[in-house]
Amino acid sequence: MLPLRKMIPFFVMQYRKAYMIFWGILLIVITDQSIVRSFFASRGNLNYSLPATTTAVWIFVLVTSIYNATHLFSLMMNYSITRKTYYKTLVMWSFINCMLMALFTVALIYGVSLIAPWVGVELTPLNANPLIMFYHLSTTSMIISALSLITGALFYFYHFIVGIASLLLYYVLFYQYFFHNFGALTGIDQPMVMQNHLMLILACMLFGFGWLFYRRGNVSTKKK
Amino acid sequence: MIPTLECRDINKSFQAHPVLHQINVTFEPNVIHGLLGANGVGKTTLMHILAGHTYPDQGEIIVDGHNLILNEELRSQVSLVKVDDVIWSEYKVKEIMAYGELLHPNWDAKLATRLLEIFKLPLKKKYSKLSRGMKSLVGIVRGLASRCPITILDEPTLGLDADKRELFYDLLLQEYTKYPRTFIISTHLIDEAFKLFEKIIYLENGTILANKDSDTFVQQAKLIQGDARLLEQWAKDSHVIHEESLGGTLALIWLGDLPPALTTLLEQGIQISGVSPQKLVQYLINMNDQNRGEW
Repeated sequence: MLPLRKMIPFFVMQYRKAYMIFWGILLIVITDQSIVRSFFASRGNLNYSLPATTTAVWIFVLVTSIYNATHLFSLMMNYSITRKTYYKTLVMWSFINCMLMALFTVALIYGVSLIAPWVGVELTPLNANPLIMFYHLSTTSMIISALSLITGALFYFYHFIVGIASLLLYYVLFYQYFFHNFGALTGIDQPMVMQNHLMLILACMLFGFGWLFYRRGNVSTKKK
Repeated sequence: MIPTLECRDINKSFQAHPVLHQINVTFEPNVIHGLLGANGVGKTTLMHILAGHTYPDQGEIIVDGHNLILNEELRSQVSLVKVDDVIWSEYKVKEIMAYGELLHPNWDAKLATRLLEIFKLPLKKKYSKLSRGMKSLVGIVRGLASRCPITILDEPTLGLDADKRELFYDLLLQEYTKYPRTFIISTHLIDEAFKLFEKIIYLENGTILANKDSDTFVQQAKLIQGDARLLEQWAKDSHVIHEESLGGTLALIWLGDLPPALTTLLEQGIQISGVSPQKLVQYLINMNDQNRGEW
């Protein structure tokens, strides 16, 4: 079996550019929401940009996970990688990806809030606990990643319509919940750690379920 | 050590349409195999199954005595290179090679660099922007540099000019001499690729019609031509796979051993000679098409 130390660099090579662009945009948006706006208003507020930032992270995770589940499967099969190695690395990378995204987002938000006073900008204090926010963002991203992986598998092994239907289903079931509960789930006063633990367990179960699609899945030979 | 690759009772259908039926074949180690047959007879499907990309409906793929379907680790022993594969579209040539270096355990980076230089492939160009011939060359570089014990090349010379094709045949032979391994190559340019092949597997309607040494495969067919009056009686024989008449001359393509009665006609001016591999395959395909009665 090909060692993971070779597989992980493969993912890094794949997403290096995408990360740079995404985080670059995130930095601009967060800076705009806080420091730049505070020059025009009395006080900048990072709390308003939290939902938008997390949504952007989730969308990034969703897109990359579908890409990993579809395109990279064919690609890795072409390099004689076994399905098991592919899937193991994919799950591992998904966890790394989600944690990196969460870490960087939290670092960005708190970094800006720390830097702001140095440049003479006064910001409204953040409502979220950084650790809980990191944990929540990681676990929700992991669920999105696992669900997107299953969606990708449905797109790849079944029909386009099935994939789209699954995306709509997730939106109804999960997204609204994540979005509207973000404040509550990451709040300093009442950190709902248990919900995050459950989400982590659910993500692991979904990743396990995804293997069923790939275990005996045929590589698509369709010309797009 | 190069493993043996064996198909046992392979059957495969797509949407109830049978593509492969009872395929039983052994690909011997350190041998270059030619996989021949008309378009749509199941060559590519067989290659996908051999590489573990597609699972058969029934049957086993045995690599080195172990079932590839049950023991997927063996897939690393088999590499399938397809030409003009859409999955590479968004990658630059240098990225495709970098991934090869990262993911193929036996990848020879020096060889890859040498081949890229020989073929003058633009490293910074995206695969989708390459010509069909250049895409084939990228596939060839991947196939040769991977140094995979069993390398399967699906129509590697598609879109290549004569000069590049010859270069590929020479490089393949050089590589094979230096690092012997099993090659399975499908092509429609049979005459020029025939010098590479040690074994021929001929597919027809999803079944293997011939699995022979390349010399035996081509020597089994004879072109018999001469006076039509002398040859007419033989034209209806089941061994005749093709006939052509021009004026008073009749030409028959005979498949199998020649009966003594036919060889005695040599004294009466009948000529017996060999048939080119390309022509032989062409006649076999035509005969099959006529038998199907769909044309």
